[in-house]
Amino acid sequence: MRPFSYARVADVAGAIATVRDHPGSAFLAGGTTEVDLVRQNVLRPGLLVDINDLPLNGVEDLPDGGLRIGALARMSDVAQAAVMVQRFPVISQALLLGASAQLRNMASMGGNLCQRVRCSYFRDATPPCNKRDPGSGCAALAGFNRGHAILGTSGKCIATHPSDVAVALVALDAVVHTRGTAGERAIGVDGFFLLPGDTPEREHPLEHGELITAIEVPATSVARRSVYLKVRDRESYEFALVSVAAAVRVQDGTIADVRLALGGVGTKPWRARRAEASLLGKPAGGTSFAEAADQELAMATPTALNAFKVELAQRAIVRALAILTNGDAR
Amino acid sequence: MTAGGRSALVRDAGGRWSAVALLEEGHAADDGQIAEWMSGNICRCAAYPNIRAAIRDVRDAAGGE
Repeated sequence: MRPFSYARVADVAGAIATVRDHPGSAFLAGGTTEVDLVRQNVLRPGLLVDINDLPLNGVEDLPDGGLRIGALARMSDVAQAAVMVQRFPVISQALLLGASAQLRNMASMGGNLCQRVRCSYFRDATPPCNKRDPGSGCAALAGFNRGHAILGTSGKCIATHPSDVAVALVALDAVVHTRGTAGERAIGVDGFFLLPGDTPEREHPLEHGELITAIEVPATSVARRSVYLKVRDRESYEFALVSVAAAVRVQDGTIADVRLALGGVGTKPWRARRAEASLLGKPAGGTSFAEAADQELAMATPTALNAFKVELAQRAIVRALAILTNGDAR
Repeated sequence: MTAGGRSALVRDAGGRWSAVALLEEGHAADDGQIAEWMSGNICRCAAYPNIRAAIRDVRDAAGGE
């Protein structure tokens, strides 16, 4: 680890100004990923600006039935909020299936969205990695890539986005609120995550010094009947091989509304829009579910080692939809 | 409390805090729940069954008061 400076700030304007004025600086929230990466020389900040004193930790009910989650609200507090369990079970479940109790007590919601990938070639400071060292190449393309992405990949990067809760937020069209030197803005969460393309080092549309202040989840009646299904090598304290965030409303046996997003398979939390379009208006049953899953995964670009994720994702989609509709998954 | 579980929790401060917290927060209904909420605490002697038993003992003793 290299030496770095540390500053603790008390207000949002001060936090933004401090990071803006120091080119090599970064915000520090829960630190559950960032501190590891600094220790491993993957991140080399000159200054870490601790924002844990900022008043951004509430979970607020909005008049229209939506929720405003402060960027510094801890994963554990958000997961346990009664309103979350009742109105947005998929968010609560995704949070509780992530990390471990200690990490959830520490990790912030804003930090969760900004967490870096778990690709071992990114997290080791020596092999080529276009995210860590732009233009150096991607060791994962021909390396051990069993856990890597099959959707949204590029010739420059195939690292999987690791967040669980982001998958639920993408399914529900959450909005990321930020404040920077140019003022405040609201970014749809799907657009908050960038595909790697030719610039995998750029993961979010944030400017240097732009701070996430809140995550807003719009009122969505379909979310009351929602689930987060996570498939992984180990039952606990492990990242997803495949996960599904799903919400469905069935009317007279027909799918009237559906939200579907995938984790563990995409270079970003993957909104399954093809599957959603395929499902709308179809009878709620195994045939429709399987057809939708096939359509979403038709664009997959697996490697020899992670090709199993295609069928695993298809089956997980069918299972999640069957759980919600109490239907037959066959 | 079983000896194996007790000695593991004496050594492992993080595990001890996790055990206290999961009992206080009511996540000790069954072994599956205890295992999930203790998850992330690695025990060098793999005394997991005994740790769960120790947590059950504390839970049941508290319930009997």
